[in-house]
Amino acid sequence: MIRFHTIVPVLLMAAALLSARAPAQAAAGPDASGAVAPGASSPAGPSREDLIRMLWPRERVLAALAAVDKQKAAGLLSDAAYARRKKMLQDRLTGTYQPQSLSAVDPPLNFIQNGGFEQTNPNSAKNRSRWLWWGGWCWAGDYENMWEDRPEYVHSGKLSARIRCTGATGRIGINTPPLPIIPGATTYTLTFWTRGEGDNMLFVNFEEGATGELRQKIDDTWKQYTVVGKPAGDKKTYTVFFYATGGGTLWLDDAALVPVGGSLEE
Amino acid sequence: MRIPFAILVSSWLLAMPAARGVDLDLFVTDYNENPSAEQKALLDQPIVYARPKSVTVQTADGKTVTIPDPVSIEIRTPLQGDTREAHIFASRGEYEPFSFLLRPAEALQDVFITGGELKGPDGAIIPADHVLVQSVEGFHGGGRDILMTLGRNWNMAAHSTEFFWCTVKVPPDAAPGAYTGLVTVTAAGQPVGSIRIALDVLPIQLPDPPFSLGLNYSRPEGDADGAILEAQFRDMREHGMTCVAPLYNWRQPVYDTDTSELGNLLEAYKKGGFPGTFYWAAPMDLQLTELAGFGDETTRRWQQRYIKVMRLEHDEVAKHDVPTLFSIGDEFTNKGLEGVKTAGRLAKFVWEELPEIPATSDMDGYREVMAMAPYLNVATFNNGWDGADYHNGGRRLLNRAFLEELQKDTGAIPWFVNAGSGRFPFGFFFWKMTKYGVRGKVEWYYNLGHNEAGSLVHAQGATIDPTLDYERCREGIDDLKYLCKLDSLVAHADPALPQAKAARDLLKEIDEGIAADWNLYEGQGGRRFPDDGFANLDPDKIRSLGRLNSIRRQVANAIVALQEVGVR
Repeated sequence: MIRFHTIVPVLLMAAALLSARAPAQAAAGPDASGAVAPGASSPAGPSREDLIRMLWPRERVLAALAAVDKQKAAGLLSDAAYARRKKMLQDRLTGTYQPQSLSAVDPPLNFIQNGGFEQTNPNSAKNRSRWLWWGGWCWAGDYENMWEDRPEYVHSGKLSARIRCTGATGRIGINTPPLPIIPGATTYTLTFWTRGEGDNMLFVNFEEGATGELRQKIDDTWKQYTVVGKPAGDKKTYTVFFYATGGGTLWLDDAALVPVGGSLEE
Repeated sequence: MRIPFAILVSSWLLAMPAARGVDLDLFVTDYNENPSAEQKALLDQPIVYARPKSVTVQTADGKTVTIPDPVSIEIRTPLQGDTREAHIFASRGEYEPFSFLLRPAEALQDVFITGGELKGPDGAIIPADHVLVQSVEGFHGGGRDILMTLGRNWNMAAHSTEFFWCTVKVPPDAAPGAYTGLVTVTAAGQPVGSIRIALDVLPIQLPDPPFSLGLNYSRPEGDADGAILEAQFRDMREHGMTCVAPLYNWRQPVYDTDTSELGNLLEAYKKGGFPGTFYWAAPMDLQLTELAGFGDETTRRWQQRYIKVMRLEHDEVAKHDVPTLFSIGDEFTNKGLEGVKTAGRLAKFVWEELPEIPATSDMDGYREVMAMAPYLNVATFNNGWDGADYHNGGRRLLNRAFLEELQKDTGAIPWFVNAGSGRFPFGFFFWKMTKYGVRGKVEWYYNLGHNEAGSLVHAQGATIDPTLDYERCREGIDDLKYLCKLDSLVAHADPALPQAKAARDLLKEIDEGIAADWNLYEGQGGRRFPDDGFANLDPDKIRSLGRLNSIRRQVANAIVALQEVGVR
């Protein structure tokens, strides 16, 4: 087993270097799935030291120490865990504690997480989502969701998402979780790469707090599509669905979604 | 066994209206068994002798056969006793059930079943509305079928079988002693059969066990005035739960600062009288879905929003003075070793940046637990599995060895999650595991979605129909209450008292009779508790009380014995 505390400092150092020396490259670079987020930006934010100062004024450390005593009294901390937690907070009080988890680095803004479908959830049914951060459901018909690893059916990285009709047609969908409406954003630009076989039909739809759609039979070559969503109503979130409503097979890869205008920062 | 009703009429029935001589099966069954038409009467059980030194049988043709060292011997004898008598016992304030089966040999019209009042010592009465008869109705099958309160009369075809539970609620101030009464079956307004209840009310008050025991819980729909929430919390308390673990559909302040729903929930929790730790499971959704778009746990954007949401919720909790655990994650083992790494990063981040928040996580694998637990107040886990990438090497978690390793190496306090619903998991087995440090148990699920599979109740608004497993959970918690009560009395008793020694011996024997490894039970290892031959089991008592109630009765007797010599 790799214990986290042995690898985090290395990651944080690398992240800090990236943040300090190459913000422009980070802003325009690929996300974890390899997709380029068009127009994405990662506004310069507070440094790690700034964050520590903002998050841990002396009053908060003192309140946290009192809270830890309360946890112990409520039977929610063992003696050993109590001692470690108190020590960490006392070190914060003296300014000697160096947090290992706190990040001052953001990837390029892309509201589709796992847009490259590289992170799978093998413990899942074939007619549900098979990918982290994606939901999924089959309403009717016979379909199968599966991660695809044949290189010719992968646009980038090692995997793509394959949605295959195995019998009757109906509707299967995979969807993002509810995504935040960004104050000031006028539209949301969704891009993705797709390829199809057989009598397929792709239906992409912004739902709930935004509108925008694409209905398209997909050819047997990788091609990038763009769908623009517009905020609708006063909801605070919206969801993007990718549906297969025909026969054949669809592959999806490298999806990205960025707001045009507005800011997620508070 | 089918007994013509006319034969069974005895003096205590003389006050009843004259009954028609209807041929029907009507007998008390074992409520720990799922109902089936093949079910036999509780009394009609084989006597099992485990590990006898030898067995000598005289065969029908006069030969004598001796078998040395058999593993066990099971003997069916002619039925003795009255299969229409329910022998039950209960402490003051306790709910105590029995089950029975009805199968008429001829068609019956306008059938109904009514529980009557129970008459006790010196004119004491347990009123009829404390004797609730419910029918078993289809829901999700087996132990997840439900009990519905009887509404209208119904018709029964000849040889059709229906199943019923009767739950006696003993008032907290009931006088101890023997009570009797009837559950009467009528057809077309005339009695056609009855079950006699023989209830011993014991001079015992059972406090809540000193552990957090609860169920995952979703926000009820259409509950603007909180009436459904209040009814469901009341129902959980009446089923012995000492905490609640809200999980799905609870609002979290991701995009604003509104924590009023959590505040209302905490007030309802206090009003419901839950003595245990509030298990706030909803925050696991922050990692799963609710912060989608913000990045992951290693990014500034995600971390800052996460801190904001968690601190808002913690501030709300602090206003209500309810001990609360925040569950931050959900079964990362399912996502393989990558999930384990995420789990470890998340737990350490919460430990460093949110130490004022008591944290746990719902975990389901060895490496996940060992990655997170050093940073958690409480490690909450099930028996664990290997993960799709087989990274846990067959390690299982609901056993003594792991509990000791966990506490020694990480300092986390162990709780169980999804470690089994029903009587044994909540009762004797949980009691055993508390000896190794377990302090809580959260189970899946009170009201999942729209009464989906997994639900322990069928809920329609404030109307709640319990499943058989839910009722058995209550019985398990009652077992736990008896055991904890006896533990407490023994701890306060003069060790030299003979009653204290007898109680210690009994507790030791029960303790030793339970394996400290869940893998041996529930269809995995082929064992059941109590084992055949469990020394304290009197085969005849099992016939009238059932296996677990026979042990519970001995615990109750030991409590009474200590109380009688002044131990409190």
